[in-house]
Amino acid sequence: MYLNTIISRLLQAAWVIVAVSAIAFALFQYVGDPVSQMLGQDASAADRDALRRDLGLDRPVALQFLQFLGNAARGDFGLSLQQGRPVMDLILERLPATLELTVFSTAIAVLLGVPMGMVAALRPRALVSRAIMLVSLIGVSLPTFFIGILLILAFSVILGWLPSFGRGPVADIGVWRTNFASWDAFRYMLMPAFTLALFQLTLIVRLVRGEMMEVMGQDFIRFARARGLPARSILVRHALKNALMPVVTIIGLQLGTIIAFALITETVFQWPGMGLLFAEAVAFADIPVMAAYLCLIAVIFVTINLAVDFLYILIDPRLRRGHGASR
Amino acid sequence: MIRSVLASDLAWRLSRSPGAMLALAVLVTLLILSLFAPVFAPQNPFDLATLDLFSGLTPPVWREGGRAEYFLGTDEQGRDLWSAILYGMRISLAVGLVSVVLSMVVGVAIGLIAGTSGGWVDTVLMRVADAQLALPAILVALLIDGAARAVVDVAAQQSLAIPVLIFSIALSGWVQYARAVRAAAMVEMRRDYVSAARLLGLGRARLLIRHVMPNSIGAVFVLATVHVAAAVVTEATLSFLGVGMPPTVPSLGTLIRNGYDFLFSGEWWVSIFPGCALVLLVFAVNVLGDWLRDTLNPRLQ
Repeated sequence: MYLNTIISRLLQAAWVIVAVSAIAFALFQYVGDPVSQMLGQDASAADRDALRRDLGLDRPVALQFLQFLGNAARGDFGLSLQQGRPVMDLILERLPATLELTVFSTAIAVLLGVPMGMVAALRPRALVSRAIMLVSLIGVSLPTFFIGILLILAFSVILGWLPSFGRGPVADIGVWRTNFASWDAFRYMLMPAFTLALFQLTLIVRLVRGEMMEVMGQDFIRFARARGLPARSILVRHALKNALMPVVTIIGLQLGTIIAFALITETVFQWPGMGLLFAEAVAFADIPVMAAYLCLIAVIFVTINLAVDFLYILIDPRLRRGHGASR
Repeated sequence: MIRSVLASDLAWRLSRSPGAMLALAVLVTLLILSLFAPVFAPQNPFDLATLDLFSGLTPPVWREGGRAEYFLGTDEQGRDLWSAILYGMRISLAVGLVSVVLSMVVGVAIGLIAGTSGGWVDTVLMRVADAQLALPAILVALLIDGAARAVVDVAAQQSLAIPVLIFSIALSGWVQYARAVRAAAMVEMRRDYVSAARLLGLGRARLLIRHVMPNSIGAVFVLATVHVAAAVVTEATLSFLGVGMPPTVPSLGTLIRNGYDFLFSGEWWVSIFPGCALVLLVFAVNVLGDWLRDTLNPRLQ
């Protein structure tokens, strides 16, 4: 029954968002102590009480939480303690940088990882395959920030080919600030994107390899061969299509890790995205920025997970047909 | 007796696996080197009196301008990198091990309570675990660290930096242990010996700690081995991001961060050598942990 699945997924998603925003709320309301931050240490007790009333801090906690949720839904997270500007403005300013970086690196990882995984599965003993598995082992073991440092050493310091920090000469297209408009700006994205892609690539290669090996041994592939279908068609239309399904799910589930790794990558390359914003906020104890980032990450994470689940139902006819469908 | 049989079996299997043997050899070497850092290090890198500013940024010995007493070169303060790496690895390992043990204690306790209580206690605890799993360890650790910075006043921040760091890494890693122990404890609770102990009138705490826990804890130690590597990387990453170990007590991550500033002026060795030490350590622990997991408990992934 896929309706049940959808409802339980939605409930799960709602639970995660409520839990995370409760943490963000607790941070925002209690850890930061907004009153002394806004008034300073010298304010009188009467001033403090007045502001407390204005901010609604004397109301019941549940009510305050609802208000926080309401404000959050409108994108109002207050002012950054460090920069004195609305938190949402800061985040929106930085959003395109992070999105371009993560999407581009995921594209690299998928475009390289799927063929590499296929080769490694189809010819497990070939030299190429061994090389591919070695690269993926290295990708697992090297900490992300050290990969970034090694790339900078090789391509910026020694070879002098690529710029090592910032976004470079970006172009504004409407409100969107992009690195894709010119080669000059695009060069700035290459190293950060590869750093971020390497970990995903590793994961994809291993998954595709494992799935392909399993799928290729199954009966329907043997039947397809017996029917005399061309090898390419068997590989792409029958084997790969089936092997990619779990890959899509795992990539969706790994999104949280990608966000964390983007944070590290952005810090290494001083890429002005949301991750760098958050890392700076942690160092300065800028609570409103931390709370907003947390909520935003939760929403993005949950939305993509839901999308993956529904995509899964769309792709896989067995899940759509509901009960009675058998393998 | 059972223990010695298991040990000899393990040793025999180890001798059949060259990769694991090599990893073990590397790990033991690194452990000895860092544990006895004062013996193997020619210099105490934290004793400012022994530092010589004039020999700052000396390249490694095989490069032009390198000097025999500074095998891997020096940092900007004239600190011998080889010594700094040995001392730094000691700190990295200490922070990693302590936070893994803390994670284990928290995770095992929560897993035991959730697995043996059932009902709403179980539901709430596992929902919290689910929510935390949605966030990767490094984000959780960063968040706890940031919140702690806001709570603790500036004067105390210096002295509390290390406990806060250990606490954040520990709290970001308990979920796996809790899940493993919970699953095992739920199975154990249905066993006869538990009913027997209950009939004897044993208290709940005693039953859990003396009887259920020893039988549910097997997977935990295997998980912990792999987790040590992850904790060391988390600590290094936090230090690299500037919220980990302070420059006065530098771990490998702090050394890498410090050396990162000199990368662009060509003094690559200041960050690359600590980085290589970190990679070697993590790689050895990972290989050994994976091997241990496959050998002892093939059911774990």
